[in-house]
Amino acid sequence: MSEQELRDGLAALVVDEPPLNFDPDALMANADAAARRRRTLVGVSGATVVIAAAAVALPITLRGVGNPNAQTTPGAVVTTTAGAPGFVWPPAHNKVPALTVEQVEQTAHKLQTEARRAFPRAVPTATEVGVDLFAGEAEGDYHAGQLNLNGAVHFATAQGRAAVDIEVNAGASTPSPGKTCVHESDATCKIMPQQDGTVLVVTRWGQDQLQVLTVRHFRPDGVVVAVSGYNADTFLPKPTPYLPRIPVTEKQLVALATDKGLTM
Amino acid sequence: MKEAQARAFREFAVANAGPLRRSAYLFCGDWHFAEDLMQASLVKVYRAWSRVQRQDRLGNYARQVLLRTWLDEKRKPWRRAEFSATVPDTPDVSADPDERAQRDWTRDVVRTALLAIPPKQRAVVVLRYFDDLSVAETAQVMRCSEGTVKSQTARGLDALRAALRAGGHADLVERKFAS
Repeated sequence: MSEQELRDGLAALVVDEPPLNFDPDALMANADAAARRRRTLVGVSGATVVIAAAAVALPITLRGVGNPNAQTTPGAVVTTTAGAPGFVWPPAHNKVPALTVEQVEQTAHKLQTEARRAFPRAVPTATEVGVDLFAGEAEGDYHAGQLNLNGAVHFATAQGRAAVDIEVNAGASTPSPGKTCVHESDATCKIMPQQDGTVLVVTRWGQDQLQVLTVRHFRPDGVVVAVSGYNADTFLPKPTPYLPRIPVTEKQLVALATDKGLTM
Repeated sequence: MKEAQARAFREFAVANAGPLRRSAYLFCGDWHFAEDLMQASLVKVYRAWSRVQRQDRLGNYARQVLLRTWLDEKRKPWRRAEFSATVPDTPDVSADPDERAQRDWTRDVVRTALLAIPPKQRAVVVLRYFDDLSVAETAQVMRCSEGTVKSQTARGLDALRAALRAGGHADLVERKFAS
């Protein structure tokens, strides 16, 4: 096949293209409406954070009155649907790694090893655990300066087969906790500032039978580890049947997302 | 957005919707998904219009957005799972039967091979040989160096040959791609 035959072959692929009913005004109107919805959501979130802060402050105040020895539980969280007050993103100590392609590949292998270690510890009931080699946006995607690697963990439980996706992002390359919740506006989203200065964001999303529970850990060095549990192994060429619920808990996903070995 | 900007975007969108959808189809192999990718990409361009409209090569900027949108979508596992290399039967009854048979055969062979190669290599093949972008333009769209474009092109063509060979089309492979 010559270069020209390749060009002809590609051109032939789109000969039978269906008619295009494109309306630029509808597209612009939809984009404007979506922007308005986002602004409204941010406004609602602002109001919610005030209510949530009051709701948290009141029990703490009452506990302090009733029991002088009471302390805030270590690791206690503030749950809101808005941003994390006082949390700066990108963080002051943000590190943007300038990795070569070889270093990115090495990191991908290291993350695979770390995931093999961390997953059985976080989810001890899982069997037949297999971890993919981490990569960028697509399988085998490694490039210089890459800031994102992800890999799937395949496993079985008593309920059936499922998967967890682990995504490691460096250099504060993901949106802030507040913006994450705005972007995931079709999911339930909660932001949980931690006492160590990090922030957890938990989103739960579903479509038809698919359920996805994602825990993101925002770290002071700009790394965000996002761990998503699914109710099926959708990473296989032939996905497994949907389970009635995700076979890993939020706590288990938090344990993975906060694992120090998962970083880049 | 001011009316003049809206008018400029409208003209840009109308002129580029078709080409973007065709490129998207070659990326993903599905017209419905291609339509979604084109719409999503144009929405992103619209949101950034006040910043980007002064760019010399807006079409390439839109291609860049399209490529990122497609790769982002591919990261979602439900998108990865729905990938299929099945070739639909869409005969063109108006064409000469012999010509049509030859064209359909070439089309099906190329489509099957194209969908079998890794996404970034597929993207570089589409940008270089369908969109007719230069190495420099492809590098700009893919946000990588020209050297990477050349190596990805070579790998993409190798992968295409391998896919053709695996599909039983070794005769096509023997006639090598021009460098």
